[in-house]
Amino acid sequence: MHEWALVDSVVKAAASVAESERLKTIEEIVVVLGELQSIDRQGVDAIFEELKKNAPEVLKNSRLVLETEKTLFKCRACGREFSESDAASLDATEKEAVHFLPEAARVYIKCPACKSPDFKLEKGRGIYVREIRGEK
Amino acid sequence: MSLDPRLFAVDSRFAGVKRVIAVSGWKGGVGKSVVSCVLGLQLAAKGRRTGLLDLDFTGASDHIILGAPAGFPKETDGIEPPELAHGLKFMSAAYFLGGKAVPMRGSEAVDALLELIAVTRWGELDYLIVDMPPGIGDASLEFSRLVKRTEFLAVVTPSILSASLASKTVALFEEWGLKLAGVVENMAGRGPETAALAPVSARVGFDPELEQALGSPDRLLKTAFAAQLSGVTQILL
Repeated sequence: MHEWALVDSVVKAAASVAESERLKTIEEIVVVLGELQSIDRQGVDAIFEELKKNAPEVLKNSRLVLETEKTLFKCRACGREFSESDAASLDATEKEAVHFLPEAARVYIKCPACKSPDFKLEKGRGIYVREIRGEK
Repeated sequence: MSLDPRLFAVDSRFAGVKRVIAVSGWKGGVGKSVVSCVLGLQLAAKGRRTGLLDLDFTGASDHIILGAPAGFPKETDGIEPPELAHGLKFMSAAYFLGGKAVPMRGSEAVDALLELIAVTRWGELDYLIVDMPPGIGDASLEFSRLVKRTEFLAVVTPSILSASLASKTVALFEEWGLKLAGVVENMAGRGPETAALAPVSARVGFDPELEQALGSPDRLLKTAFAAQLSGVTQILL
């Protein structure tokens, strides 16, 4: 699964922060998963445990805390705010495309009010790190 | 904190790539996509491990030029770029767009770019050819920022419109410390020579057979266009 590459990015980001902040240990990494990308939470946990085995020492006892962020779009044409379910019901192939590349949503989703494909993805796109808790 | 982890993966994703060649036209319609595809095919046909990345999201056409089969790429510990003729590894947003147009603002193109380069597993490559979007907008600047060793291959046409923009951009890039790998003059003979950008690595004339070869890598490699472009391939080897 391509989640591996995303979790690998999280591990690399945490290791880099530990180095720049001179942390001795990282206890928790709070990672936000945007609803739009449909990232497999269990898969993320399993990959993280696997990647930890070869990660820098500072990450050996780290825990991953996963949060989900609801998707929120805002239409640039008419200003309407909407969720994915307000706008469209994607089929399995379309969902898979958005899973790989969230910007593909611009092909399959339109503003429910004015049908414009020009909307801003305010929240819930993909993966980001919200917090890294550790000790110096 | 809101930290984008993908930024931290870029270096390792390109670690096995020896040279990154960004094919840039700056002006639209100069033929950089066909140059990118044929260059990638020629390098691969010469036994060099070669990848091609189409970053022209809103005008993606490399998949059509190469006749790349539709369908999602294989997932492993990332996304595997499918191998086309001569083992050319190819990645494009087109795999995910269902053959439809995608409206994308600059910040969104940057997000798509970052997503693709963070998850694509190129492995060991001698060359990664990157078909850049026209202009020096967000996606081009971001790619140059993230992959600092990128070399640029300029594609120009014999028109003052193309040549003046290219010469200004090349001057800016040189001042900036970015490396110019070469210059291709496409549709040569249809206007004044682009002396402002000399030395030109290859002059490629208009090839009426090229349109018929689109979609077939083997036919593309046999065109007069490919024969004339081989001057560029030679300087990259």
